Order: sequence, then structure tokens, then C-alpha cells
Amino acid sequence: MTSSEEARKTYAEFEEKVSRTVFLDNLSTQSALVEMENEKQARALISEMTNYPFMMSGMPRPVRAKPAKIEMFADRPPPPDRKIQVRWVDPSDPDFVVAKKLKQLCKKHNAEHLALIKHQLEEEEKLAKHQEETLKTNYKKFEMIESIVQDGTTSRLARHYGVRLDYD
Amino acid sequence: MSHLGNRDNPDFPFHWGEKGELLEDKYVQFYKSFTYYDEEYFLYDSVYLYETCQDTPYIGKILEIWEQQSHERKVKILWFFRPNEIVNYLGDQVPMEREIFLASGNGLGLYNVNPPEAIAGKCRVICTSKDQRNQQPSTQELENAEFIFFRTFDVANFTISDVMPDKICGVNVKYLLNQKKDQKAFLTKSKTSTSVAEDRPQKKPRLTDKSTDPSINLLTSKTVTGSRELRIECGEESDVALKKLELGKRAKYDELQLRKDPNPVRKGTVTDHTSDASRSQFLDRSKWFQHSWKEQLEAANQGGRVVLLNNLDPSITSLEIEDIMYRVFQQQCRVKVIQQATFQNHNYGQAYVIFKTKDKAEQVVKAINGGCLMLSQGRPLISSIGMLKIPAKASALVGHLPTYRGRFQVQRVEMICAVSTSHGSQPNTMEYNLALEWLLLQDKYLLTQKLLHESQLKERRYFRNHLKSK
Repeated sequence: MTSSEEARKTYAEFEEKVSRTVFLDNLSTQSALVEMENEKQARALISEMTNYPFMMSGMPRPVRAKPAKIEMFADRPPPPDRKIQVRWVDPSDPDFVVAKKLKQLCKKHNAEHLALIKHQLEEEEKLAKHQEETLKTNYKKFEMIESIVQDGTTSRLARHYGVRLDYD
Repeated sequence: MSHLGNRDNPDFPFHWGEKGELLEDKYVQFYKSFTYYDEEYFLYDSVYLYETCQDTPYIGKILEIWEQQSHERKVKILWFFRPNEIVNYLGDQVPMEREIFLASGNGLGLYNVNPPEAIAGKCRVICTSKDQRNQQPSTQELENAEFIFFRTFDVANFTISDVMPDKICGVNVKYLLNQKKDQKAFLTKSKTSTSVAEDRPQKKPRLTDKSTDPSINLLTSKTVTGSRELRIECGEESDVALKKLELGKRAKYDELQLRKDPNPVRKGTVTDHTSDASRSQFLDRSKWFQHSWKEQLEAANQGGRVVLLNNLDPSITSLEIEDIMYRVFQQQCRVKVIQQATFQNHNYGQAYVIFKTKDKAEQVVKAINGGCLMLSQGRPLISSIGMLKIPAKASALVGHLPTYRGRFQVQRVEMICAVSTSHGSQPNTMEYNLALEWLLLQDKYLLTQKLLHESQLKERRYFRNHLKSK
């Protein structure tokens, strides 16, 4: 096998691996790449986690699943037969000005992207805080109801008002 | 125990050999040998025991053979341990090739009582202990041996020792080591067997993995499969499975392999992916023994040797960047692309480059930012010293709400069990609403991000089209 054939084979294997990998984000502090047995399983996992709320012990977890992409693998092999061109652009070249613009654009775009992500994180935090409060209140409410039922207050009240209590 | 039903069948290939002690009060007749499938087994022989769903057979030594009043035949087997069975207790001791460990001490896993039908065949085990009581084996015997042992494994305190105790399981250890009588038998056997060109497998189907004995002729082993299967069937019903499970027998073989093979990982940077012949002269030996990338990056960042490259093609690989760095700056460096995860804009690729010195890193940054290094697809490179600044998450577990314990939780668990959903959810709970809020928020931002990236891509294309050379 020549080296280019080998590279092609390695790349094909890698692409196959990517196709059956799922990217999990918002996994507490980290994100993870999960390799499944085949592409079908990976797709099923993604669709299930996207279409249904993901819960653990009855609590929602903000975990997101996306199909993995080649760019998510730091140790990816280079695509076969690709040669990246490199050249220095002379300052007198008209391209130099355009390139400068492109550089600025890249910086701007990255800044925009980071700002959006930051905003999202803030919103997420707000939501989490809000939900925690709601949950606490609800929990208190349920506890109160439960204690009233348990110490017999409800049945006494029911008797007092002549109402029939039906727990179902 | 249906195999016992075969007892009266004259065709059942089992015959008692020389009689031993008779315990009249217990109605137990001991024997010194028996024949099973034309193979005669003596006391203290090493044998294979086969259990289904186990690809490697167990190895043990016959300590006692007896028949009970109910005509049940029994053998008492003292176990040998394969290194992978006790890998958790090996510590820094490296097992030798073909080495197994004799069980010793008192406790679970020392021996088991099995029906003789569980025996799958004889096993050539040689003791190489330097113990005085041990008859030292000849080189030929060593070559012929399938396994060797010179150490014991104490089943009570899980220790390995190369000192043979006086007694194991109530049996004088001299019977368990190589015996003179045994040796003669072995010698004559091996002499004949070499001349008769491997007739051994025919007599007893070998259940070892083939690697131990590559000389097994495939054809001959095929001819015996019939009888082998029969024997395995008998073995299935035996209680071999009782054997020493408590000792963490099922330790992974890989683990052992790992220990055996502590070769340093050579990173892919010196592989032939880069066809540049000139580079091979500059093989950097510092790359062979690596700390983890994270450690390296942190150390290099403190020394100001890390350069962040931006505006790369998102699909570019570390190797390609290394190649570019070498072609343009004649610099040997370590490169790793930054994985596209939460904080990365997927229109732009980014990478960390670690240079050997701070000066070199600064030189490169100055050259790239002052001039214009254009890569394919109209991507002028941007660089900066230091690492990416990503917004720190305020709290480690945003959105991971506490689950309340106590009665409330117990009830909830029951509710969940009742409809049997583990990670799914029921729309009639308040947690479901919480989850929906998360989905909404996430979808909103996913969409925003998509729109942003699309508009960014348009902008980039617009400017790129102004380039003369694309």
C-alpha cells in the first residue's frame, strides 16, 4: 500500500468514526465526544436528546447533543491529497489591503461570537437561578400540603365542613 | 447431574485405576488414578478444566480422587492462577512468559471439588523453583512445558511468594513440585512423542489458546472435535464455575498487557504524513516522551512560548500547521488545533503553537501580524502570544438543579418507576416545565448563533471575492 492510499484509508476510517460520534455540550463544566457503535445509534441518541427534555433522577439537565464534526477532533488526520498553499503577500500587492480587512473581520467575528456565547451563559445562569427559586417554593408548598394531610388536618376540616375526601 | 446417568453405560469412557485408601465408616473409596477418554490421570497431575463461556481453561492439580457411596466421582483440584487472574495483586512483579502461580494459604479459591468429567486434558506444567525439594527440570522439559511456576499466590492475604511452603492444602509440597517418577514419565513421553510427530493432540484435545502450541496440526485437531465437544458438554454441568470468583478473577487481560508493555508513546509528528524529506533530518527527540498536552501548554504559556493562531481553515490539522511553520519559519514546534466546542466560532479555525523559546515565538508573531501570511482559501493568518480568553462560567453547574431528598424524593422516585422512564420525562410534572424552559432557551441561542454565523460567512465571502488571487 502506498502512503497516499494509506492516508486515504486512515481518513475514511476517521470520517466513519466522526459519523458515529455525538458531541455533548453543557455537561456540567465540560463537553464530551461520545463514540457510539454505529451511525444509526448516534442519530437516535441525538434525536432523542433534542426532541425530549433530558432528565436525571427526575430533574432536567441542560445537556445538549449534536452530531460531532471533524473540527471537534484535535488529532484528526489531514484529508488526503490536500496541500495548503502559503505565501507572503507583499505590502505593495492590492491583496494586502483586502487581507488586512479579512484579518479585522476575523477578529470582529470572533468577538461577536464570544459576546453571544457570553450572553447565552448569562441567560442560562439567570434561568437556573429562577428555576431554583421556583423549585424551592414548590417544594415548600408540597411539603406543607403533605404535612397537613399527614397530621389529619385535612380530614378534620373535611368532617367539619361535611365534605367527602377522595384522595384519588 | 445427567452425566452420572452414564455411569452404568459400558461405553462411557471412564475407568477407575489403582485403588487407594478406603474409608469404611464414610463409605468413601479413594483412588490413585483413573482413565477418562483413553487418558490416564494420576494424583498430582496438572490438568485443564474447562468452563463454557470462558475462552481460556482453568489449570489445576489433582490432589485427591474418590468415589462416594452414591457412586459420585469426585476430584479435588488445587488451582493455579494465571497472571491475568491476579493482576490486581501483582504490584510491580512482572510475570514471566508462560508463568502461572500455585495457590497456597487457606481460604476461598485454594481448591474446589469437581467431577472428573470437568477435566479437559492434561497440562504440562513444570516447576522451576530453586527449592531443594524440587527436581530441577531439563532444558528439554522446559521447552516442552506449556506453563511454568516457581511462585505461589496466597489466597488468604493475596501475596505472591517464591518460597514454597511445607504443605499446601494438607499435602506435602514435594508432591506438588516436579517429582522424580513424574520426570521419568515425562522424559520417555517426550521422547516418543517427538518421534511420533505430535500425536498428543489426538489423544487429548488441547483447549489452550493456540499460541502456546503452534505445532498443533489443524487436521488432527479437527478429527478430535467430536470427542472434545462431548467432554465439554460434561464439563458444562460441573461446578467449575465455583472457582475463586472472589479473587477478582475477571481482571482485565488488557491491564496486564499494558503493564507488560510500558513503551513510551511516540507522537505522530515524526510519522510519514509529512512527505517533506528535509524535515526528517530535524526529528525532534523532545517529542518522543511527552507530558500531556495540557501540562505542556500551561508550562509553555508561563514562559510566553505559546502562540495562538487564528483565521485558519476550520478543517486544518495540526500536522499541516506544523508543516507550514517549518516551511515558512524553519521552526520546529508543537502544534495542536483547538477543538471546536462551546466557545469556538466554527467559521474560523484556531490553533496553539508551542515554540522552543520566547524569542522565537515573538519573532513569528511579529512577522505574521506585521506582514501578511496568506493561506489557501483567502485566509490571512492572525497570531497572538498567549492563550485564548474564554468567558469563565460563573458557577460550575449552571442549570444543574438540586434534587431534593427525603420523603418528597422517595415519592417522586416511585412515581417515576411507575411509568418507568429513566431519562425521559412526563409532561405532568413540574420538572418537565423546567426542562422545557431550558430547551426553549437553548433553541433560541442555537438559532441566533446560526444566523450570526451565516451573516459572518456572507461578509467574509464578500471581502474574499476582492482578492486577486484566490
